[in-house]
Amino acid sequence: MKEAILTAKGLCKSFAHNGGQLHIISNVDMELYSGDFTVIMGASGSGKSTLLYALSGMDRATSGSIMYGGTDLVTLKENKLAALRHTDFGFVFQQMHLVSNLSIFENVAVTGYLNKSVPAKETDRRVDELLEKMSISHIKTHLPSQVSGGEQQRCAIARAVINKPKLIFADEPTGALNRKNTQDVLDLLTELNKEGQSILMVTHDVRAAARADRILYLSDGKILGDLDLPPYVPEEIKSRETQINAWLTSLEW
Amino acid sequence: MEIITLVKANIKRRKGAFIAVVLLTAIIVASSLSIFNFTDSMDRALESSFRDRGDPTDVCFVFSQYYTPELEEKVRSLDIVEKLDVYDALDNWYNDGVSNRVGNHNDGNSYFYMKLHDGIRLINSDISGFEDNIPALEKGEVYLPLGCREKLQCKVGDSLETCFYYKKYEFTIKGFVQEPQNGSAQIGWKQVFISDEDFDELSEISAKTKADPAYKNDKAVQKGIEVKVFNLFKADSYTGSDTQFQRDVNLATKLGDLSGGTLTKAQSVNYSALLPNVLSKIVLTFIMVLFVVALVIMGHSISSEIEIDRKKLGILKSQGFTTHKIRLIMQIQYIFAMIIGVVIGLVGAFFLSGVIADEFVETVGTPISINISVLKAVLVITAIIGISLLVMAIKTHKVTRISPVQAITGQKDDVYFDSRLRLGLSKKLLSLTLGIRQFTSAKRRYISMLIISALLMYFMVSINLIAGLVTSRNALEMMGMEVTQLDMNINNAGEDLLTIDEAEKRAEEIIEKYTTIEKRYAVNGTYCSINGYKLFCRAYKYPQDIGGLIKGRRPRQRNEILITQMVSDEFGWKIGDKVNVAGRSGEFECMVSGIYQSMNDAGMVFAIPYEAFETLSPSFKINYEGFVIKDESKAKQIADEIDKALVNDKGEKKGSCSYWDIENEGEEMYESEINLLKGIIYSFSGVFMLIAVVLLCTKAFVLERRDIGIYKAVGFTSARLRLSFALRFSLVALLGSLIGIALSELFTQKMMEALLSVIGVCYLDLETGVLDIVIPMVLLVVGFFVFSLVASRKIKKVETRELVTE
Repeated sequence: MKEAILTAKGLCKSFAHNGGQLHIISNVDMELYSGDFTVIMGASGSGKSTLLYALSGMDRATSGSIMYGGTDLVTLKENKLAALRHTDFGFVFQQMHLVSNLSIFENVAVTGYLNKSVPAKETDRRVDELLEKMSISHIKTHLPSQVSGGEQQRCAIARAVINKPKLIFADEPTGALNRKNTQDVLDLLTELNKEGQSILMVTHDVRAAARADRILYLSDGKILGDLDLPPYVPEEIKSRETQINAWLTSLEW
Repeated sequence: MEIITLVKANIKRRKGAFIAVVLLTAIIVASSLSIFNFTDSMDRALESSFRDRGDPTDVCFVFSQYYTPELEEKVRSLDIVEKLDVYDALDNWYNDGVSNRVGNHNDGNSYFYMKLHDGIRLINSDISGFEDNIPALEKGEVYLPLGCREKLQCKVGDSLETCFYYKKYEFTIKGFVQEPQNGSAQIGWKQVFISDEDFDELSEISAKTKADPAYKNDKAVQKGIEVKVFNLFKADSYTGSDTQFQRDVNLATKLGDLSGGTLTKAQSVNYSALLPNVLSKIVLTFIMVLFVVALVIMGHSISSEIEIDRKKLGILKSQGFTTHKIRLIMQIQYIFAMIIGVVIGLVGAFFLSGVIADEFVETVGTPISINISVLKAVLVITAIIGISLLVMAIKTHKVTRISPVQAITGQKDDVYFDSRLRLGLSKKLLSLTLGIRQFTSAKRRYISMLIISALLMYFMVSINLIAGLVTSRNALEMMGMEVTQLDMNINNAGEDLLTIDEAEKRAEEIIEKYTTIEKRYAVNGTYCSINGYKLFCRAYKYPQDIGGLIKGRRPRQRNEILITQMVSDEFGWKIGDKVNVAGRSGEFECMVSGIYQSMNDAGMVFAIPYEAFETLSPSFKINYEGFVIKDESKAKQIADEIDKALVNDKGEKKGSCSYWDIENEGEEMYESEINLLKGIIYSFSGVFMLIAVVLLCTKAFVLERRDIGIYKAVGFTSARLRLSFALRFSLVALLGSLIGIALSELFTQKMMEALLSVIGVCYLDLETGVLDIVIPMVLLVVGFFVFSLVASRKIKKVETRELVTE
């Protein structure tokens, strides 16, 4: 029996539009389980990124509840949500979003420094360790503008895990990368997941989705499908992709 | 049409920048034009006041013992004198603490009581103009010149107490009048007007007193109180200056040498307008710097706008807008804001000029009716808009470098964050170190703010140093003021008087019981002439202690004098030159031994040893001695003891001694004006600080919106980000302050010497106190911190969702 770490019930997200309301997410019920690599797939405009940000508390849901550790994120105050972002959650964006005037090392360390329970020296040591693991320690003094997109994204992943979060939210992390860098980033995420890291990733790329052990299909703000996959093995990538494609076709994607 | 549409849209979108430019322009236009309106109106009012009196060129006060009908006839017969009016007047005495007193305010200067004559106009009750007629005075009533209102802090209906000989008299103030020659609060002697009946009665009393056998040996009584006031009008054919006219009359008749005091029209106008002129120059200098600040703010705003709107400008270019048209749109929106600012400024200037005029009306001595200086207004506005256009043209040049494709795809030319000044982040000081990083990685964005804070700091420190001048002993001494803790005055009227030597001996004995004497000024002054030019003369018993020496040496021989730099420049006399010094009873040749500073008679003064002065004016005795003592804490005790000791053999009090606490009392007269100036400069600095912060913060906020989103996404709270934001601006203000302090050290002294040269101060030794620097620095840093913290409230509205790429 898997342990649920995040539970959404009746989740809705609407925007005011032309005097009425535009419903992006409609009445979504879902659970994320500890240690899972969950992927949300869907067509462009299906609301997958909106769902990701609503679940992570980065964006406020219009209604419903998101229970995390006994707390409802929908009603949680801004400063508590901020604290949650550097203690329990990690984020990886499509556009990397590194702070342009901080070095690669500092981009990771600055998030680590927010964790008051870890001394600065320990944080620095951990940053070095992570950069080594991400194979970007040689560029740690470089500014983001001086490194490649793949290196930037690896830095962003290091930043996401520096405070050992319980859950990583990744929004199309390979969307802006070339084939080689995409492969590297997915390998990193897979490796983290193998070490026990829970991940929720949004993607429309089947190759990326093939790394997951659970796929949710979103269409018009509703979850229409939920596919469980066996643990990822590199050699089975082709067959996993075929399985996912067939599943998506059955859902009329 | 497309231009109007875009200009309207830009103004709507950038209301903050628009309002800031309106405000800055309004402040600069209002303050500069109000100064010009005021000074021009003041000059006109002074000129008009002389015209009301028939435009006299020179006034001479001749005491009765030096007056002869021959002298009057001699003057009247001169070709260069068109007209001579001579009025009878009575000079008051100083007796028992009263010379001219209203309530607690006593003016020790001579007031010449005379009958009301033509050309004196009654000022209306709200001091804004004149009554049509001046009612005749009844017995017991007096008209005072306007300057007395400030000097005696009096109003219509108050009682003026004065002394003639040993008796006190009281007059009720019926009104204030325009008396152009001596009417300013800046001029000591005054012509005041009493009824014919009172004047005749007092003249009769004077004659009887002098004839009284009881006063037969009283030299002061025998000297009398009668004075002849000569009003000289130069002939139209005379082309020389007023000073030259005075000299020519003096050389031909000795009128100047025989007079107790003289004042040409030029001198009178100069003294009356002196303080407003000096303060106006300081304010105008400050306004010029504020204009530079405003240009820096505007330039920064344009640069940031181009940076922020890069994409929009690229789109406009791709749609066929030419660079010229885009630049024109940007310029029109700023010009439009400036025009609104000019209109507000013009209205503000009119009201502000009136406020300034009200503040200085007694100083000037005549009501000032404010007129708009149209030509100066046109010139100022043209200069402001012209220079601003030039800055806009330079700043909008960047638009030419924007390529449509590059702009739309988001590529930029500049990499601002490639900095050599990369200090590490600290976990403990995370907000501060992040703030420093934001600054060091985009230094160019903060240059304008650095300049602004440096200039504001420069002026705040400068005004503190100026204010310090009136309370700093060393500074005052450097300006030639005799700053003493003990002031001893001995009576010069009556019988069995104390001599200065006797009083001095007693004072020395008392002082030496408690402490030692460091300096002493036994001094008196009157008007004498050098080479025929009438100048104020200060006679020193101890010339070795004369303060404010700049060049040469103090007089060592009786035939040596010190002159001021102003006298040297005016008449061309240098150290080593021989000049002819003349008084009422003699003349002799002297050598200029040095140049010194003195603010007496606004710098038109010379110093001479008393030993030599006695031969020029034997009846003029020293009746004052001031002491500088080592232990100031004993001053009160010593002063009380000396005061009691100043009695004659009969036990009658024949003098007084008081103490002065410069640290606490300062120079009250100038302190209020300096404080007003300080208030203006600090307020302007505050407004400019606020505008600069609001504008710069808004731009920085727009440019850093994405970074703020990222920080929020990784767990930074809005409060922490705002703190970091505000700390960064405080840091820039701190750096700017340091530059401002350096600028102040380099230029304030020179600037003040140039501004104060008109009052005879050509060399200053400014003392920079810790508080002079710390107070403005704290104000600036805290001001920038608070304002930027408030301005950064928009950070709260940045949502991490903005980072989402759908």
